[in-house]
Formats: sequence, C-alpha cells, structure tokens
Amino acid sequence: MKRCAALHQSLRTFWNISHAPQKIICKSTVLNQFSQFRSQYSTHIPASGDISGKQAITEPLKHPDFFKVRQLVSVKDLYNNRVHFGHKDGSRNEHMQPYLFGNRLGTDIFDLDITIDHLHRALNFVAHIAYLKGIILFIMKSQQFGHAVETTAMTCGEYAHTRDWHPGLLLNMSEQGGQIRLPDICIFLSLQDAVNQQHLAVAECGKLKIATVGICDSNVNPTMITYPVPGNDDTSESIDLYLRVFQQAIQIGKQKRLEYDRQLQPKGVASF
Amino acid sequence: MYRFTRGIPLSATLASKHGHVCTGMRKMSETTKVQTELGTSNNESSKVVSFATLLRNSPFVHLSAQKLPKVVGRIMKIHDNNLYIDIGTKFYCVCPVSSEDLKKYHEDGKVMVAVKDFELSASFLAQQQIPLYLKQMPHCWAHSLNNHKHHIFLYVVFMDVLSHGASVVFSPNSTRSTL
Repeated sequence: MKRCAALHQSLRTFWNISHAPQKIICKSTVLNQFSQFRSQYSTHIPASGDISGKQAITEPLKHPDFFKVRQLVSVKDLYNNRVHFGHKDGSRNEHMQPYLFGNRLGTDIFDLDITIDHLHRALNFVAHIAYLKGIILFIMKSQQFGHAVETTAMTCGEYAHTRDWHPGLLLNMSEQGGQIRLPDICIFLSLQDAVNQQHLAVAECGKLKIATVGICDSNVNPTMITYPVPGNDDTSESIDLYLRVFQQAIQIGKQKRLEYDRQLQPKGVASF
Repeated sequence: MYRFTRGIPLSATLASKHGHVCTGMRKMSETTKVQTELGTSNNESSKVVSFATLLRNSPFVHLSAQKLPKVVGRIMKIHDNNLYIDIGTKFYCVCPVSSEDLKKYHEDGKVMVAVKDFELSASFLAQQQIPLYLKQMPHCWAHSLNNHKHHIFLYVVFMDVLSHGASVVFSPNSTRSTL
C-alpha cells in the first residue's frame, strides 16, 4: 500500500487533480462518444476530478484490501477460464519466464498462484483509482474482443479505445485545443495490436507517467507495465473474466465513493 | 494419415488408453464460465486447491505426447461451410466441410478431432518473434460423434483466431458482434 500512496501522491502533483477542469475534450471520436455516455451510465456525479477531503484518500489506503477485491476471483476461476494457457515456447518473451509454471506439449503454462497475486493487486489499484474518481481507459486492439471491451467500459462509466491507435494520441492531446484531461490509468487487455507488435499506447503511457494495468501473455514484454497480470489474452473465456472482474472492481470503488460523499453532505440541508 | 485413421472403430478409440482423455477433453470444452460474485468465490467450506494440483489433474496434461492426440470438441458455430470447434485449449479450430457433410453437423454437437498442433505458428525457433498468422495449415482429421456407422474424415485446420486472414470470427457468445 506504500507504493499505492506514493503513486497517488505523484498522480495528484503531476495532474493537479484537485484543479482539473470539468470539461473533457479529445480528438478521438470514441472518447468523445464515451464522455457523453459516461454521464448516463456513471453511478455518481460526472467527472469533476475533485477529491473531497484528505480523509477520502487516507482512509482506504490504510486497509490492505479496502474494497475486498480478493473475493472477486480465485485460482479455480482462472483455471476454469483457461487463463493458464500461453503461446508456444518459440514465441516466449524472456521477461515472462518467471511467471511460467512450465511448458507442456509446446505450450507455455502460466503459474496461476503467481497470476492471482498480480491480479488481486491490479484489481485493488483499479478500485482505488475509481474511488478517487480517476479516468480509466481500456485499451485492446482486437477484432474478436473489441466490442466486449467497449461494452464493459460503457457499463462501468469509463472509457475504451479498441480501434487503430494514432501515434501521439495521448502525447499530443494538449495540442488539440481546449482543456484536456488525460486518463489516470490505462488497462490493457492485450499488450499487442493487430499486427502482433507492442501496442503504441504502452510507450505513450510510460512517457506520460500514466499507470498501466496489462494482461501479459507469454509472447509480450511486460517490463513497461505498472501492474502486469500474466495470463491468457486470446481466449474469450479469459477476456470475459478479466472484463468482469475489472468492471466489478471499478463499480465497487465508485459505490464506496458515492457512500462516502453522501456521508459528507452538510447536516443543515433540509429534505422535503 | 489416412491409413492411420481408417478402420479404427469409434468404440475402440473411446475405449483406448486415451479414452479418459477424450472424456476429459469433453469436460474441458464444456466447462461453463464460472460466474464470480462478491464474496462467493472463497467459501469457507471449499478447499483451496493449488494450481499445481489443478494442472496435474487437468485433461490437457493427461494428453500424451503423441503426434495426433485425439480430443473431443464442441462445435461452437457453423458458418459458410466451416465448423468452429472448441477443444478446451487456448485457440479453437476451424474446419472446412463439404456441403453434403454439412448437414451431419449441428451447433453444440460433439466431434472428435485429431490434433496436430495446438497453435498455428511457424517452427522457426531461431527467431524471437514467431508470426502467429501463417498460410500453412496443419492437417488433422476429425470424426463426427453423432454418426457411429460412418467414418467421416474432415480437414481440421488450426488457426490463430486473431489472424488477418479471418474475415469472420465467431465466439461462443453469439451476442458479440464482429468488426
């Protein structure tokens, strides 16, 4: 949790979250579209980005699992949804070797005891960001799962980018004019794009100090990801599991924030 | 390969030493998604099983390292003379079928598949990055379990589902659209 607190501190000082503008403008039409949907589907007030009181930050950080995200998923759930399957040993990235249990019939197998720990950490982080009213961007360039990712983002009131990534989409956003608020974290459902190269957004997030959560298959480089989750990113069952638990974590965080904000309402307000 | 598979009765294949594998793979492909809800994943009554135990008892590990392991798959979708078969591994397989054989298969039906490769990739082990979408198709034979009398031989092709060549991609969830 120390790392989480330091990250939040750095996020605040870097982005001046407390003084963030209300309006969100982006050149990408997808993000524009979702900024409209967000006000409809969001469970709380629209993105103002303000943090009401320092207590809102410090209280959840004292708890190791404030949002109880460890109850959302278990090793058995991962196993049933084929998260342990990796690619062939020939396409293995050397950095993924510590996360692998072994190789069977040419197929790399992830050690789900390691994966579950990483997934719990990532879910905890995502829930905290949602609690702090951060903007979350789901990124996945995949023909098969793009729609599912967009639907999940819409359901939990966040954003998604599942189309071709224009280089400099995040880096040059300020040049589009108006006031811009960049995503606070990016969740990569797959670190590769359609041509099996590393997704351009990974490097852009690294340059902009945007924290990243990424599902790392055995053929990708996880070194640039803040919260890597080693696991399968090619099977629909696995992707559905990730989307489900991330959505639940975000909704838990937002719900807790809503309850906290309700408690802070002034007592003098008359209710008719 | 034709000689290898012809003449083997279906019952013998199922009753062979790999019979339990067939059953296991059937279970593997029919595993329903576990719906995780708040607080229900970690019941006090259920034992916490390590991943090593789960893997050791999994049908994938029970497969022997023969050249053509036979597995039982479930047809996810039939489209345009193609069978999309789920065998419980990372990728599913696509099998082109002739028009007269097409009526023998139906969605959610079981087929026996002889697997040559679980993932379509080139065996250029010297390369760090292996192209995952290729033009060579490994040869497999598949058996329909619906018809015990005839031996129906099919070409079952393993494809990386994210390949550019696939114009239409289906998933078990029929509500998901394609782009």
